[in-house]
Amino acid sequence: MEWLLPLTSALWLGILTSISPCPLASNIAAISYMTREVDRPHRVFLSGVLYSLGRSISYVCLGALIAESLLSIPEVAFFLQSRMNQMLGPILILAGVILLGWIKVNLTGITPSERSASRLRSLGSLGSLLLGVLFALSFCPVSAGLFFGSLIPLSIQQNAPFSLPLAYGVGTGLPVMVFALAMACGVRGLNKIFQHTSRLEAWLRKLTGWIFLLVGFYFVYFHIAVPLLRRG
Amino acid sequence: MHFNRAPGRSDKYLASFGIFSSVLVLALSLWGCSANGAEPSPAPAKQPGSNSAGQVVVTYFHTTFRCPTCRKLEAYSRETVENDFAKQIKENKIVFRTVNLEEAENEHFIKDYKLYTKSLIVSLQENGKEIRWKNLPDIWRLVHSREKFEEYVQSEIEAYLKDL
Repeated sequence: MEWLLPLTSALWLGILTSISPCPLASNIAAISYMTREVDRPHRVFLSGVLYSLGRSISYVCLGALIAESLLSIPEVAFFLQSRMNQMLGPILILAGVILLGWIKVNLTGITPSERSASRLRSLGSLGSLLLGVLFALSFCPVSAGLFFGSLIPLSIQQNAPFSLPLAYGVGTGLPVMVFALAMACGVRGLNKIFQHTSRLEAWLRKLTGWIFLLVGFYFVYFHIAVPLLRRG
Repeated sequence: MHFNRAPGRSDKYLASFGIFSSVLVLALSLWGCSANGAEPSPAPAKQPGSNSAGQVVVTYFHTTFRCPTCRKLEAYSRETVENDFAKQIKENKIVFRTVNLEEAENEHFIKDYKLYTKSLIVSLQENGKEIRWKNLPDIWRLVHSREKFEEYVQSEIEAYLKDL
C-alpha cells in the first residue's frame, strides 16, 4: 500500500491544478468540446478519458525528459509558459473557425457521406486527446508551480517517473470530465425543446466553435498583444 | 452533418443562448486569469546588502503577467514576513522584496535560482554576498490554506534566521 499515498498525492496535485482559476479559459474550451455529442453520454465520457490521457502523455514525456536531464527545468518551464500560450491562441481560433464551418475541411476527399461522418466522429475523439496534449503543455503559473515544484521532485524521490505524472494528468482532467458529464446531462433536458437531437448537436457544435474563438482571442490578447504593447 | 438547414424558431432561442453563453465565458475568463496585470505591483522593498552582520532576504519573483493565485502568493508572503517578523524588519535582519523576472537586469535570477515559475526564495546574505538560499516550492500547494501557507513560510524563514 506504500505506493498509494504518492499516487493519491499526484492525483490531488492534478486536481488542485485544474480547479485553480488559472486554467479556467482552457478548461471551458475543453468542457464545451466534450459536451458537443450530447446525446451520447458514453462519448462525452470517452472524450473526457481521452482528454485526461492526452494530458498524462504530455506530463509523462516531460517528466521523462527532465529525469533523463535532456531538458533543464528553468528553460523548458519558461519556454512552455510563454511560447505555448502564444501558439495556443491562433490554434484555438483556427479550430473554432473549422468547428463553425467557415472553413470546410474535407479529410476524406469524398463528398460527405455516412462513412466520412463517422470518420469525423472518431476524429472528434482524437481531437480530445490532442486538446489534452496541447492544454497540458500550455503551462500557467499554477500548473508550472505544482508540476515542476511538487510533482517532479515527488516522482524522482519515489522513483516513479511514469505512474505519478500519469496520475497527475488524470487529476488535471478529472474535474473537467465530471463537469462535462454534468453539463451533458443538464443540456440533454433541452432535447425536449428541440425535439430533434441533431439540431441541438449542430448548435452545440457552433457554440463550441464560438467558445474556441473567444478563448483563442483571449490567449492572443493576453499572451501576444499585451506583451507587445508593453514592450512598445 | 446538419448545417445546411433553414434556421427554425428554436434556433433563434439557441442563438441567443449561444451569444449569452459566449459573453458569460468571456467575462468569466477575464475575471479568471487576466486583467490583474494592469494593476501596478507593490513598490519593491529596499535593496538588501546594507546590513554587514548578515540578513535574510525573502524575494517573491514574478513576471509581468499576473494571475489571481500569483497575487495571493505575493500577498500572503508579504503579510507573513511583515506580520510575523516585524521586529527583525526594524532591525534590518529581514528584507522582503519583489522582483520582475521579465526585466532584463533580473533575467539572471532564473538561472541563479533555477526558477520555473513565480517563486518565493529565502536567501542568507552576509556583506552583500549570498551564503545559501532555498526555493519554497510548496507555496503552490498550500496557497489554498492561508494558515498552512503562513506556517510553512514562517518556519522556513526561522530556520534561516537561526544562522544570522
